[in-house]
Amino acid sequence: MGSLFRSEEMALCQLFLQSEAAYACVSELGELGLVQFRDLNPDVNAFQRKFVNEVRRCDEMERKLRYLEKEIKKDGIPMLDTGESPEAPQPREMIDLEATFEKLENELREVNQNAEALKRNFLELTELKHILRKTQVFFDESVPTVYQSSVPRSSNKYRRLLQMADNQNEDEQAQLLGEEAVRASQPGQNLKLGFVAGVILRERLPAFERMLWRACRGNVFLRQAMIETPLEDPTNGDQVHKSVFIIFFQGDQLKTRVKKICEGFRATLYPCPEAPADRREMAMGVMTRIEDLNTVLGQTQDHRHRVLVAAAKNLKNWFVKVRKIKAIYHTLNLFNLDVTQKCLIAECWVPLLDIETIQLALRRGTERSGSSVPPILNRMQTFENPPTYNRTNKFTKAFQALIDAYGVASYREMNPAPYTIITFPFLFAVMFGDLGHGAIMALFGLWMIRKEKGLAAQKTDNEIWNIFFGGRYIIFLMGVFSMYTGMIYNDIFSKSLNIFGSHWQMSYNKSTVMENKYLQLSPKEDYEGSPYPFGMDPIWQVAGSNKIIFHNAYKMKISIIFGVIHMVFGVVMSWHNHTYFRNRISLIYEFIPQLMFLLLLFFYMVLLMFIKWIKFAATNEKPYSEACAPSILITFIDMVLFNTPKPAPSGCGVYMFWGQHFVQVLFVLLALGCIPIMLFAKPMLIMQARKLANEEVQPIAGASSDAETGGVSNGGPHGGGGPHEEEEEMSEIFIHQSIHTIEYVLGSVSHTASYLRLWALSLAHAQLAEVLWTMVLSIGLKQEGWFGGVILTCVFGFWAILTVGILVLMEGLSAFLHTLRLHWVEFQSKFYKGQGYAFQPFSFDAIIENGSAAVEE
Amino acid sequence: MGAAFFPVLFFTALWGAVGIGMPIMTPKGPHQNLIRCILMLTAACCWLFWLCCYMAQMNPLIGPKLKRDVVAMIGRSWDMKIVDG
Amino acid sequence: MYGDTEIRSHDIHLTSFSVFDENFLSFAKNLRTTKPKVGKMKICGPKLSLCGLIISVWGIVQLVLMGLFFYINSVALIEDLPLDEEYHSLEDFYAAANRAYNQNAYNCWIAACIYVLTLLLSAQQFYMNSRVTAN
Repeated sequence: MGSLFRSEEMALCQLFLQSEAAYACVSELGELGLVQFRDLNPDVNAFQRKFVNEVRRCDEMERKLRYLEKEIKKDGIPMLDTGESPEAPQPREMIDLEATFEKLENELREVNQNAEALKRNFLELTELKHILRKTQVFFDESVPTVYQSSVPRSSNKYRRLLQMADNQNEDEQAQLLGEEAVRASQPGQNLKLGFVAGVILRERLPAFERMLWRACRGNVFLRQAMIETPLEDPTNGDQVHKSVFIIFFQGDQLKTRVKKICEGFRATLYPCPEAPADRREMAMGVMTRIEDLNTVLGQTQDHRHRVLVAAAKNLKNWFVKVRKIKAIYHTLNLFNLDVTQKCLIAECWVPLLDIETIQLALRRGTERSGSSVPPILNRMQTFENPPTYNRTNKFTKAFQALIDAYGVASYREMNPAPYTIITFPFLFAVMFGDLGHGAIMALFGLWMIRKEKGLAAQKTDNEIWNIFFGGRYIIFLMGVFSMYTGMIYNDIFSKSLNIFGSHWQMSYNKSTVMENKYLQLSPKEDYEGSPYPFGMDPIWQVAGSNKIIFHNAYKMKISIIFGVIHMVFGVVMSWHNHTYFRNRISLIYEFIPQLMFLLLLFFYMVLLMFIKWIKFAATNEKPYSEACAPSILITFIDMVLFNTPKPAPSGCGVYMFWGQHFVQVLFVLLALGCIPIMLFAKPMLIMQARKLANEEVQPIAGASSDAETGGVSNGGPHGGGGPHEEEEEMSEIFIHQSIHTIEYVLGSVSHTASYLRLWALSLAHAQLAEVLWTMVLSIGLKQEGWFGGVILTCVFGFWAILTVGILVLMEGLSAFLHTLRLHWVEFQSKFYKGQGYAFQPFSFDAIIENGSAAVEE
Repeated sequence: MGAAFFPVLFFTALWGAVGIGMPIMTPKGPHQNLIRCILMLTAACCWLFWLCCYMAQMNPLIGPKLKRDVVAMIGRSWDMKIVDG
Repeated sequence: MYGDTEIRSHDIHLTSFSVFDENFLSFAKNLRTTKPKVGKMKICGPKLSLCGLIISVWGIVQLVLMGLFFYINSVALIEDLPLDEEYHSLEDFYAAANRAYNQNAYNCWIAACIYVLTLLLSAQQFYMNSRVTAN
């Protein structure tokens, strides 16, 4: 069963359900989440299915619940989320639920309507209050210049406030211009001025003013004052700033014009009595009405609040219930009715190991519904490709997701995920190796793992956080491995630790030290003979001028060594696939030549590296001394191109060991010999097998037997296993095989080179860390005097932020992406087809999670 | 030939224990194989990584080039006396 | 004494009206949430105080260690010393290096001490923030 190594074995089953028991059974299966139903009526329109009515009712209920949720959120009432999932209610309970929701919605809508009307009323009154207050000021200002005596006073009784239209002001015209002006313009005649007062949005005021001026040719007089407190717009609850204005004008023509403009600018006009006494009286009336309104509004709000608080307690529960009902009916829509109409027929994919559990769940469902006839689960024979189901837990889930992001594995194919659990963090760490940065990452991962439950409970829609949290185990492992590789590289924030004592010795005298700016230790005399026991010798960190040369040689070699081993590992995985699918032809004529090709050329190069490390030393005599060490890359290029190597310096040999030339020529010839085998052997054999089959059987029956042999032998490049509906053309097989071969041969060259990114990124990371230290932290450290401590504090903070931002986050992201590529392309291309489709069981948990996510968006 | 006996033995034994000893001792269960795979791969990767670093320094072909300050400081801090004269 | 009883009677009066009950509760809640903000000088929000907390802890650990390494004249840190290019004799150099090492060690420890202060400050802020959100 090999838990994660291959996907689960699946079976296609037919399920007969009693009509009465169907609902309860599907509900049980939904709780279980191990069954994937197939649509048995794909050509039936969604509106013509059996339970379309029920689904529609559920949609309606969901809409009501969403409305309630919106209202609850608007009021900021906390919703009780117990996290438990109630069972799907019986179908008959649906009516009760519907009634409850209907009642709640109606009540809430009514309350809202009332509240809105009240608020509008309130707004009007408040605006009027402001008008009365502000216009008082305008009138007060103009009092000294008003020609009082000639103004006819109309009977200004107190009028019902809101009825009062401003056209009643017509006869109360104030004479606002000074006596001189009156006399100058129209002597002997009373100059009567009309006015309108109103409220307008503050941002519209300048345009309004301009428009008035233009339209009335400057014959109106506008005064305005701001209302300091923002007012609430009753339709959407926004806070808006408004201004009070008052416009004086003369004559009816101007009046209509002014009113038109007011209308156009959505200014609300209010009646404003002219006499101060009336205004005072009116203001008093307004105040009392506002108070009354306030109490009524408060009561309405309280009522609304009570309704919502009651609803908030159950809302999540209701959501879950409704979604479950909907999911059940949706699933029932996928089923077929049998001829007798007594029974529903379903087809589903189930994991073979879980058939017992599913049977149990079905029995439970039957008991619950009180039906006597047990449901029947029948295994069916099929030629279809089953879905791929990898059972994951919280640890393996993220790794499986990395693999599935590339492509879901074909059915029963080797799953790279279990190997990725280690190789992924490890290759990441090769690029990210630094004890300090690794520790930060590991601590972050560890914190997320420790607080897992609490963090998982508080769902957020912050996508970046969700990615980090989903990959917490990956992050933790990447951090831990980075700490290990950091210790090997002996880098902690780009500085080295000298734990075991450097294995380089020095024997200089004072004059030598004083006379030379640089001194290079000799590997012959100053080296102790055995290396630093764990990781890089700390002396390299302080060897500023040739540290990089040494590191490059080392890191380039390890990236090739690990790369080649990683690829060989991938090819070996394809062996597991071929043996599992009984694909002998592919095993012999594909796997073996592929492995040979890789081993003879590239693994040989890896061996050369080890030989070079062992054989060449500064302490050795001439043919194996440090000056004679050949370049591995040049050797390899010469080997593949059959070049005669360049003559070595005097005393040195061209080759590293005896018989090297012969071995190399042999290896290259063998490797080249593998190419035609990969290219032709398999298609030829398939062709032969077909011919044989055709000769043995009659031409008519030939087609079917062809399919058989094809099914066995054909699978090679496509992972096999699955049934082959149609015979492939012979020419197509040849083309496929040649593409596959060319891809492999060229790929192994380019992939090997591609692993050099391990070197490049790790070099970049180490250099960046060093630059950050010397450019930032060093400034703080180099301060002289006691004040340096204070400066160091600030510089350290800055350095810490940059370290996290650039070196851990950005470099970490880039190393992550490169690692991902190395796994997807360089590793998986050796064995992984990824042509399957994922098993998507009918599960309430998944449905409810998706549902709530969709609502939050 | 440049390698010291003790460190090689120690680290090989350490990772050997992780990669061979611990998989033998993993408890039975649904994830036994997965845990074994994880342990073996970890041990293989870490051991090889250590080994490469060790071997790369085993027979150095170049020596570190040090600045005067560094040489002087090494002479004092790392117990390598700079003799008079 | 008199005032006390009056308040209590007022209280009872309030609770007898269920309509006002909710109002009163929300009012009281507001009071409680606003109190620490005004009373105990909340300077930074939850995120900033957490950030300060982390950097402080990190700073203390790393700076104490670095101080120690400077104190024992670690060769790896020699690039970070304020030293001149030329010295007349090795003894001169050693004397200057000693001074610089010690000075840097003390500076590191001073910085670590300052980080202890910021740690306390951000811990207090963090505590305040967590109390506000808990209410």
